[in-house]
Amino acid sequence: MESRKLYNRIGVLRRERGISRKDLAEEIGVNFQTVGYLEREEYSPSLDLALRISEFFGLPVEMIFSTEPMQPLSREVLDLRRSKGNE
Amino acid sequence: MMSWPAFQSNRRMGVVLNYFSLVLLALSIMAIEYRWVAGWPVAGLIIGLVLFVLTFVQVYGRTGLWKFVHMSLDQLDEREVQVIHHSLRVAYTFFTVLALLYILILTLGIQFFSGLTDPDGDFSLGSVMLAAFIYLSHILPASIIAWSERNVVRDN
Repeated sequence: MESRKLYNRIGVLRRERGISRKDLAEEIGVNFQTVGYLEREEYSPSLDLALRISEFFGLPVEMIFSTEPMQPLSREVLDLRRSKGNE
Repeated sequence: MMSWPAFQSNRRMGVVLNYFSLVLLALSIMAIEYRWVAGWPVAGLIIGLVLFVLTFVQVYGRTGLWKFVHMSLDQLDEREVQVIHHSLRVAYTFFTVLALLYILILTLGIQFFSGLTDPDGDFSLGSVMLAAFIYLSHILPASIIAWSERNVVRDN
């Protein structure tokens, strides 16, 4: 069975928090090259690793990973504000 | 500055040269053992040995690939375990095909070219080919990773 491609925001979140790949790798318990593969979306993590990443960033897993190409966070915030304004 | 083995094309060239040197070494030793031709086997032996050591150090030593494929799975993360499993699966296929091909060549050699074998006309596996096959079984997974992976220079 062919698995679906997973898109993620790991690179954006890491840069936003000013952490190096090496530091993130140490925190989530992988080799630093694996962080590079994850950020380039060349490797889809296991559920355990995805949960460790979401725990590290303190965000729900669906905010970091998606099976659809991810929009910029600023765009999502804007959409959220607009939808709240319409309520 | 990136090192020589950090580039995939360089590593691929190194892998090819390493296998070429292995064949050159094996042929040179067999040529000496079976007294095929006088003279060139010594030159082949020296060139093969130098090339073999150089390419081995560059492709498998400096990249950490030799160590990587012989590491305990507990020391690897989930992506690395997947890479190792894939390389072992491909290596197993290659090794089986090569071993079967060698047996076929041995059989044909005994049937049709007994003059090329040892002075008694016997074509056996021999210590040279045995050593080459043992080396191959260890190096094949590492060479598959060196060939196919973009980043292999590992920080241990």
